[in-house]
Amino acid sequence: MSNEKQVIHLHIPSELGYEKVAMGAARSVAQKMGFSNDRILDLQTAIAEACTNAIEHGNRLNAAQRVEVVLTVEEGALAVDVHDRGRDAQFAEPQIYDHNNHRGMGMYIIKQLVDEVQWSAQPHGGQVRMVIYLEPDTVVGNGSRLPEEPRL
Amino acid sequence: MSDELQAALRELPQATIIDLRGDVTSFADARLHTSFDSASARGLKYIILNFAGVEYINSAGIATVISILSEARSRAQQLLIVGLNDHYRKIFRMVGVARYAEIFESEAAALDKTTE
Repeated sequence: MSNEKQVIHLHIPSELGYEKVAMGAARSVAQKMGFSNDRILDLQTAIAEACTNAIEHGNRLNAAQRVEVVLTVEEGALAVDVHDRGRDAQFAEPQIYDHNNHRGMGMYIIKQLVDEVQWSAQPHGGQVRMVIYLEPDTVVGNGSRLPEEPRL
Repeated sequence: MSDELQAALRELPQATIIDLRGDVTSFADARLHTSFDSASARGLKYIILNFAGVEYINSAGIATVISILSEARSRAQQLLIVGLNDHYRKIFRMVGVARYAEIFESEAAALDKTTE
């Protein structure tokens, strides 16, 4: 993979279930980068939670609005940004102990599964940025992968 | 896009097994509660939730599972969980489901528990 950043943009409908499109795209990109299957599953679950949160609470299931998912291939890392059009973004510290509030549980799960996560309110809606890193022993000095790593 | 949850009951002498197939998300809430109510109505102590046919679980689905666990407790029944892959077993432990229900590697191991 070249050192130039590769960026993939997805726009999914604000309808529950379409988060699977983002999960599938993330799997393809992460596999190509050489992430282990365990890390890919972690990332897919984190993306699913971020997208369902954006669909339900950001865009309030408004079919006219899209959730934008941006996958950015960086040197030794994959960053995923999920944007919605919500105007009432709330980014309290994730709580899991109220099972009636699965949104809080989803945020907690994201926090546990990715290496970095940041929630923020942008002028046009909410955003969550998640980053996972390749294991150090899978990246050589210039940031590219070792030759024995699996390729698509 | 969502793979609608199917739930089938297997009635054994010592337990009822609920075999799940499809996605465990917010769409599964009614099906899960209905299946649990049917299993619970047998009055046996043990109900086994079998996730072997489930490929996708999200936090809304886990919230439903937790509410069923709570309901089982209130009826003096015990829910046992089997069939989770390694990833979802990790997630269930992460969010505390394991504090309310035992998670078994296999259906046979869960059935052993029901005969203790």
